[in-house]
Amino acid sequence: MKTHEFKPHRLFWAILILGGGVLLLLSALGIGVESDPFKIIGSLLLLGVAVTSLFKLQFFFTLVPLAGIAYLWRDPLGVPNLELWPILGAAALLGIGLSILFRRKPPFPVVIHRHGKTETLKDCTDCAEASEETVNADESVEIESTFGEQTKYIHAQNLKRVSIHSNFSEVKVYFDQCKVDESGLTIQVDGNFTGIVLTIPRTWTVENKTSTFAASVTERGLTSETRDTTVRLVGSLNFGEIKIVRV
Amino acid sequence: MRVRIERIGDERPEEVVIYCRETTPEVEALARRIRQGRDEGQAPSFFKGDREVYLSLKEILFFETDSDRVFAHTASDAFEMHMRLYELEASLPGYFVRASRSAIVSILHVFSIQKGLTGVSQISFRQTHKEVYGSRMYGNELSRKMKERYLYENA
Repeated sequence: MKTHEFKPHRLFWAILILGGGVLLLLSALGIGVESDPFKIIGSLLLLGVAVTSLFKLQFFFTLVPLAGIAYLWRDPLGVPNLELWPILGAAALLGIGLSILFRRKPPFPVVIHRHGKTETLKDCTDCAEASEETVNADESVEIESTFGEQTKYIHAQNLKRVSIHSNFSEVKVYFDQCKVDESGLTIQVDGNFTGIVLTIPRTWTVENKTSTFAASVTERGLTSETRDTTVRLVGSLNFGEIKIVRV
Repeated sequence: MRVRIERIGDERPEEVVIYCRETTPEVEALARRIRQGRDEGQAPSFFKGDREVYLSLKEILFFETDSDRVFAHTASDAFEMHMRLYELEASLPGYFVRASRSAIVSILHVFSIQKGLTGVSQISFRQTHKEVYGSRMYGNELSRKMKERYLYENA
């Protein structure tokens, strides 16, 4: 029999949801729960989102749920006049500001050789996929967009990795002019409130490994019977959409 | 077109006047070259790997820059150019117009321009999936050229 592996974040959510269920049950039986059980459960879920987001250094999704909790418990906190939209707005702005200041590092080092010099753009100290591997500009591409729209045509001839960081933006990336390394391609996405369109050749196979929250990954266009390239789509997407368009 | 050179005295500024029946893209291109003080635009060269490819500028949908490289896009392919975008812009005929800091588009191939709330416009082309974004700064010039194209094509 196959044993089920418990990951820490699954365990955390399981305890939180089980706790909520127990509270509802106790409330139904009239035992020991004085506050509104739905308020408690809502707060627990918001707390869960905040804690997991904090571990991912996603400040927006840390502060907005905390603001929601503060609003739900405004009377015990001694601020009965606290209004919902101002506190949510303040949390959103603080979250965006902190996200811009303390951006998460990519899960792999990017070292670019340019004009005979080696330039390390990003480093990674605690990532599972970190390695001593050196990549050049024809192998790795980094795309960043905050509050904007961007199209990016990738012309690399030995592409291994593409990293897309997009917040409150629309990003279109075209892969139909590039050549992928034999080992395959990894597309790392870090997106919040964003629309990302990936235009790929119809002979590519996409393995979607992204973690999403209020977001979706959809595919459009005809696929070819012959498949020559495998693409791993990894990373996280919150409140957004990744559209994969085959051409 | 007849060319006439007239000598003037020091009291008058030097000036070039083009008398034309209508302001076509070719006339605009000629005016631009005169303004830039060039006899002819430097002929752009296109490369695919180490091969030099001979294309007509009329096949090009747009030029875009990818950090320090410039690419010319046709409907189904892209070709590298060994020029800076601003150098290229100076040598192009009048049917090319700057759409953003990183793109020059051919108004001959523009199919639609979708303006967003922020003033950034999404430019799509005929018979291709390729698109570019145009910035607000260059939006008026692009709109003006598109109106000119409409008038020219429907005259």
